[in-house]
Amino acid sequence: MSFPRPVPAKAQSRVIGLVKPKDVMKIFINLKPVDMPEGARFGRAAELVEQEHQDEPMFKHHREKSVETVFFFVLNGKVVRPEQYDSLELKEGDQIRWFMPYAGG
Amino acid sequence: MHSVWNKILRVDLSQGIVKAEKTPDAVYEYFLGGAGLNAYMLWQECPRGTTAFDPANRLTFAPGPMQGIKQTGAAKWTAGAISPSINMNADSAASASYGIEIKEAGYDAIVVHGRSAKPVYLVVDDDKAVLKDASHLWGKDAYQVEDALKEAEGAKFEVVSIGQAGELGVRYANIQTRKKSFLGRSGLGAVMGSKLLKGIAVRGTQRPKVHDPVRLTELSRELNRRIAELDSRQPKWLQFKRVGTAGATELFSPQGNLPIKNYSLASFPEGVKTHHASNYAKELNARPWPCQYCTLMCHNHCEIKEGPYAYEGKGPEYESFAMVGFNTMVSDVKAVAYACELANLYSMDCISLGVVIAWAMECYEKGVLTKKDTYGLDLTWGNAEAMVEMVRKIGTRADGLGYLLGEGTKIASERVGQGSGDWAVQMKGQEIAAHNWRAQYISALNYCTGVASGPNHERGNSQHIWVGHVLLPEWGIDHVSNEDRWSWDRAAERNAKFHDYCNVINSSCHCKFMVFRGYTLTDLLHTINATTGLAWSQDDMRRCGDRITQLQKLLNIRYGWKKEHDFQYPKRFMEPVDEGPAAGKIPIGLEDAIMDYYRERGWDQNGIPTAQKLKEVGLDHLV
Repeated sequence: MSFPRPVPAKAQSRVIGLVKPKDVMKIFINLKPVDMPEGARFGRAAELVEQEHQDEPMFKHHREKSVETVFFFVLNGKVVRPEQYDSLELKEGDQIRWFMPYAGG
Repeated sequence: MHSVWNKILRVDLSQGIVKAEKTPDAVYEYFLGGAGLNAYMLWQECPRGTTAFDPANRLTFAPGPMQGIKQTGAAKWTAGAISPSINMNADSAASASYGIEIKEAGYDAIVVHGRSAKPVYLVVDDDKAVLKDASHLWGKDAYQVEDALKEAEGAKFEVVSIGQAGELGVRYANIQTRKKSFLGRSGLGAVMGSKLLKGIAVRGTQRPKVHDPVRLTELSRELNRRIAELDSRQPKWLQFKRVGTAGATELFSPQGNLPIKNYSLASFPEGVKTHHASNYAKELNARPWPCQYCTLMCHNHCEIKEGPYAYEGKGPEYESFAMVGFNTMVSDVKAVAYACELANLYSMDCISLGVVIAWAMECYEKGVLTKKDTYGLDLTWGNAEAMVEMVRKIGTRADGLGYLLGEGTKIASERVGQGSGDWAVQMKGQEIAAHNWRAQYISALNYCTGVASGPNHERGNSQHIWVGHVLLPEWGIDHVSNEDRWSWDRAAERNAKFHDYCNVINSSCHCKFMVFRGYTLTDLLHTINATTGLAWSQDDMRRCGDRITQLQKLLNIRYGWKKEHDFQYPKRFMEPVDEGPAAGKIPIGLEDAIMDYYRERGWDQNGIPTAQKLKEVGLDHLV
């Protein structure tokens, strides 16, 4: 399963530059409020979560080993597939939960 | 409260009397069921001075209100007693279908006390319950007993049973059900054996009423689907339904979380290769073996068709193969699986077994034990044959070392002396599990401060914050950095929250593994409310968990806990490894962290719950 590459940061900043401050919406990632530009796609939230965990050893190990999805996301109770990252539009109040692959006891 | 019967089955083995007894609603509103009910029974009925093998010890088998609600994970149930390894209260959880059957028989718990004059087994068939002669079963292994009871009473009965190790009082003997699920830790099998109770067979046809069946069905349908889908989206070598918990090898290795060579090494490349999930699945021919209603299907059925380790049965979980494999340096995955299954037959906890054998191997390496002591076995690191043979010696309590190792690492090292206590990786009499405190310091804090079942990695499982990035955002644990692994900042708070979370899960009776595939505290709260009608908030749920933790702490104190016990951690805690992701990491500051934990918990500086704390959680009327 290939992990779709998010929009490069430079391109995003150009997009952000065109967004007026009042067009910012609030979504929740693991119950924490996060500001997102209106019309943002799910991939942006996914990228935020990835960036936050860049130094996590399991994450690094997975990325070195394969291109498989490391994080798993649930949006408003429904599982989000990687192929939806670019198309799924976020809305005000959306609840995102993320999980890392885990096994053990 | 819905989804409870307000009824327990009381079994007096000394008098041979079995009768139903009413229990008030308040008990369930306060303690839910499961682990909470176990603790309540001990509090009410086992005074100071009661010991593990005393007939007065209560062995309570308790499902919870979530038992049998057709939601993935709702097959979990618990049992509790005063443990012969830690000499304090302990509870342990298992799954399969036994808890559901107790519920369907019309009981919230089966509470056993006394000691029979001869071996017996109990049969519970809806509202009829009777003790039967088990003399012909004494000396048989746990699986033979399961088969015999099903043959005698009917295939629809669910059974728990013990093997020889339980009869003979191995201090970490367990109780099995369906040949695949075990009340693993803290020696409840030895308690059962001390009562001459060989097994219990239960069958039920009733269904308790839930509060909101429509909402519950909707919730369960959504959760069952979500959890199954999230598991399917994992890489193949991490899918529970393909490899069970064996995926842990590759996840834990880059974190330095594996226990290697009695916790003295950081690296075992051969072992990581052979105990890798893909090799596990291939060599052991693993297939899913799910519990009732479960869509995660983490248990697997294995088959080794030929060779000295041929068997068909339960595949070992991560904790089992980590302690019996990595910790003893045995890389032969078939030998490890076979040894674990032998342990299951005899009824022994694989975690304690792996630690105790590793301790013995280190004794042998250092010349403290010699071939004269080891039955001529060359008990060197990685010697699979010797390791397997030691499992037999311990399970049958062979004279000499086998008997001694059945006492556990603490007693064995005290008796052997010669400095062997320095490598006894245990606390309070119970062996440390397969989560390495060097990978996340909170593991050390957890092991030192656990009250539900001594040093137990799943009674309080705060290591999962880093090991699996399991967070509890509803309770304020929403973000951690990798560096936080080796920080004490907020460790006390996080540890406390995970202890309480475990108590809610083990008292409502749901499987903690669901959280690894996206089951949240919000899901848990909605399910508890829809099932019971309690109308709780997250604060109410946390308070319940806290209440049960406080009660467990009071029980610890009653049965002899002293503050110094929390500080008697293994010497190995402060011995670093010199390579790997956790190189040089030792939990300096642990003592201060324990004191922080006391403060966080509302305990005074001697670790005693204050009157104010007990009032806050509603225990003041009970104490």
